[in-house]
Amino acid sequence: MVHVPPKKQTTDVVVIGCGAGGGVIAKELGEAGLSVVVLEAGRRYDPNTDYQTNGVDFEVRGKTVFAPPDDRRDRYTLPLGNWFALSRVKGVGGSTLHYLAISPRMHESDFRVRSEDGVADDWPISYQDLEPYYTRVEYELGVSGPDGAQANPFEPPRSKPYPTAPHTFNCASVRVQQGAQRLGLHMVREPLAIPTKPWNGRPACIGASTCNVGCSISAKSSIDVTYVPKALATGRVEFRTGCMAREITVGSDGKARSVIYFDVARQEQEIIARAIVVAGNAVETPRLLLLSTSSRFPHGLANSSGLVGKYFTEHLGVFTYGRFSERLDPWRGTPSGGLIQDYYATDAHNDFARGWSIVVTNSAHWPLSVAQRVPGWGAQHKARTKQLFAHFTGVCSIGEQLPDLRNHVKLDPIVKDNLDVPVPHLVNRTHANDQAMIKAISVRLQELLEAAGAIEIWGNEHIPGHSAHYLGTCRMGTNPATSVVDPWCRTHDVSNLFIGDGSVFVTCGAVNPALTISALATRTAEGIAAAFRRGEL
Amino acid sequence: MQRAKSTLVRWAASPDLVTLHLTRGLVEFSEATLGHVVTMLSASGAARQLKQRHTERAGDRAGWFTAAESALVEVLAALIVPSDETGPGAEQMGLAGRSAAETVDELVKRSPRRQSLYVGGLLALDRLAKTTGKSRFVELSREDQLQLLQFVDRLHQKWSTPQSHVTKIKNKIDVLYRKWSGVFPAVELFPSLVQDVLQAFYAHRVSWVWLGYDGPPMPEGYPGLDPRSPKPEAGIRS
Repeated sequence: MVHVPPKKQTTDVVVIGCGAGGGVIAKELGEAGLSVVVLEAGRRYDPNTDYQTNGVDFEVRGKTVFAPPDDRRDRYTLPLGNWFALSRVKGVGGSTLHYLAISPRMHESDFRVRSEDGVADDWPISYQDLEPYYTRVEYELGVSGPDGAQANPFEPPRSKPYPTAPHTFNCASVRVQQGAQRLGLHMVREPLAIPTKPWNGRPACIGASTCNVGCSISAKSSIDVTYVPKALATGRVEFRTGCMAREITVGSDGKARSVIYFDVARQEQEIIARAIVVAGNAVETPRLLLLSTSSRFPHGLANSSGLVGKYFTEHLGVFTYGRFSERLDPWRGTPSGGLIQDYYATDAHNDFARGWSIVVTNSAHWPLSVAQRVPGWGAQHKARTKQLFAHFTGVCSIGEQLPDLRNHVKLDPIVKDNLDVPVPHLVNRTHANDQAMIKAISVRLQELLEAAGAIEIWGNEHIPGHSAHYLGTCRMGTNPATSVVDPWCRTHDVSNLFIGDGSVFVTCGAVNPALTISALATRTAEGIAAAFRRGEL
Repeated sequence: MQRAKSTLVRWAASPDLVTLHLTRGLVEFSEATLGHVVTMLSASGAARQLKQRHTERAGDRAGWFTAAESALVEVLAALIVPSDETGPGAEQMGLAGRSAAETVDELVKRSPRRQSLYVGGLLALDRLAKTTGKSRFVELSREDQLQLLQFVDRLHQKWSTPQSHVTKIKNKIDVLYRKWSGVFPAVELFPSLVQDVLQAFYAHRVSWVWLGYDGPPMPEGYPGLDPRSPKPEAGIRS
C-alpha cells in the first residue's frame, strides 16, 4: 500500500461509526453547537435506489444489498472448532439498516444483576437514570407500542406513552398469541421503531416486511433516515463515508489527539479532534482500541485494566419453528410479531439466574427464502417447499448470556482485512448458566408452539452469533481496575475519549439492545457537550 | 517501526493462534498444489476439453453459455426443480419469462468464480455420462440423468460432512482420485448449481403463482394482514 503524507484536519469531535450510537451522538453534538466529523467505514444507502423490493428478483437483491464490496473487509476469525456467525452492517445507519426495529427498554433489574441475583455485576447507573433518554429516543424514532389495557405487564415504568399506536398482529402472530393465552402467558405487541402514522416527514409503515433488506419508503426508523438528516441540518456535522479508522493517536498530555483512517480511496488521512467517540460496535470498537498502541498504552488505548475486548457477550438465541395446517401468510406486516416476557426475571425454581424474552419471528417467509431453508433438491425438495410455504412461523429467544471473562475479542495475529489491518478474533462460548438457560428456553418454545396448534415443530437450537446483538467489550463502571469507561461512557484512562455503542453494557439484559444503545448515546452526548461548556475538552 | 513492533507483540501474545493459522495455511497450500498436479496429469483430457470450450465461447454472443452448455443447464434445472403432479417446475419458466438456463446464464456472466465452476463442472458431467455409454449427459434417459446427479450429490455430501480425522484423510485421497478421473469439477459445481437453479425458479412468477404468493412487497406493501387464498394469476401483482 502506498503511504501518502496524511492531510491534517481539525474538528471539535470525531465520531467513529454511524450506527445506533454514533449517529445519535453526532446529531446531539451538532445541535449542541459543536463541529463533528463522522467517520463511517461503509457507504450511504439511498432507500429509493438501493432497496429494490418491487421486482420479482427482490429476494435476490435483498440478500446482497448490504454485502461489503470486498469480502475481506468484514473478515473475522474463530477458535478451531467454534461456530459464531457475526452479523452486522457497515454503512450510514450501521446495523439499524437491517435491524427489525424491535425496541423494548431494558428492565429495572437489568441494572442491578449482582445485587438482585448475585451474578455478573451491577451497572453504575440505574434504569431511572436512563429513562428520560429512552423517552427522547422513542420520540425521535416514533416508536409504536401498546399502552393501557394492551400494555406489556412486565414493562418498566414509563414517563410518557408510546409516540404511535401499536401495529396489528398478522395471522401467524394471532396463532402464537392463542397458544400463549392457553399457557397463561402475556403476548403483547412489541415496541417497534416503525411508526404507525406519518412521523417527522416519513410515511407510516405499509407492512411490506422488508425491514431486513431495506425499507424503500423509509417508514422504518433506521438512523440514516432519522438522526442523520437532523445532524446534517445543523450544518455542523460532516459524514465521511468509506472511511475506516485504523488508529487513535495520543498526545504528550496523555489525551487522544487524532484519528488516522483510510479514506474511500484507501489513502491514509489524519484528523485532529478535541474529543473522540468510538462507536464501531462491540467488535470494531475494541479492535480499534487494541490497534492503537503507543509507549503510554502498549496493550491498547484505554486498556490499563486489561479489559478492552473482554466480556464479549451476545444474546442466547434459540430458534424454533412450527408448521400449521392453515395458511398464515407470515410475510404480511412487520417481520417480528409479538413479545413475551413472562420468563424475563430470575425464577428461584430454575437452576440458573436471569431469563429471556420470546419474540415471534415472521422474517423472510418469501418463496426463495423458504426454498433455501429446505435442504436437498428434486421432487422431495419441491414438495417440502410447497408444504411449508405460508404455513409456518417461528419463535425465538433473546436470552441473557452472563458476561464471562473467557469470552473476548482480540486481534488476530496473522489474518488481515482488505486494508491490511488485523481482523478481530472472536471467542464466545456458552458456560454453565447459559447452557442451563438454553435447555429451559427450548422446552418453553416447544411448549408454546404446541399450545398454538403446530402440527410439526423443528429447530429449537441455539445458534451462536445469530442474535446479532454483540455487547460488553468495554464495560462501564466506577472502578478503573474493573471497567473501561465511567458512567458517562468516558474512558477512565483518556479523558477526551468516549465509547458510544453497545461495548459499554455491563450485562446484556434480555431485549434487543438498539434502543438502549441510542439512549446511552444521547446521555453520553449530553455529558460531552457539558464537558465542552465547562472547558474540560 | 511501531507497527512492526505491535505485530511482533501480537504474535508473541497468541502463539496458539499463530500455530493454528500456519498449520492450516500449510495444509491448504499442499492440498491445492497436489490437486493441481493431479489434474494436470489427469487421463481424462480435461485440459484439452476446457481449451476447446473456451474457443467455442469466443465471439459476439448474447449469453455466456455455449449452446451445448445452455441445453445441459436446462436439463439439470428440470431435475433440480421437476415438473410433477404438485405443480410446474423449471421447465415451465420459459413460458412466462426467461428460461432457467437464461436466468442462470445471467448469474454466470457476472461472476468469474461461477464461470470457472460451470465450465469445468458441465464438462465433467458429460464425462460422467460417457461412463454409461452415451456421449453427453443430455442424451441419457431421465432416470439415468437423475441417478448420475444423485451420485454427484452423494460425493458432495460425503466430502462436506464433518467426519473423524481418519475419514477426512480418506476423503482427501478420494478427492485426489476424482480430480485425476475428471469427476471432481462436477462435485465442485453441484452446490452452486442447486442454489442457482432454486434462485432462478423461486424468484420467478411461475413459482409465485404455484405457491400463491402475491408479492413483490413494494410498492403496495400488505395493508391487509389476513391470508389470501391462493388464486393463481390473480394473486400476482405486476
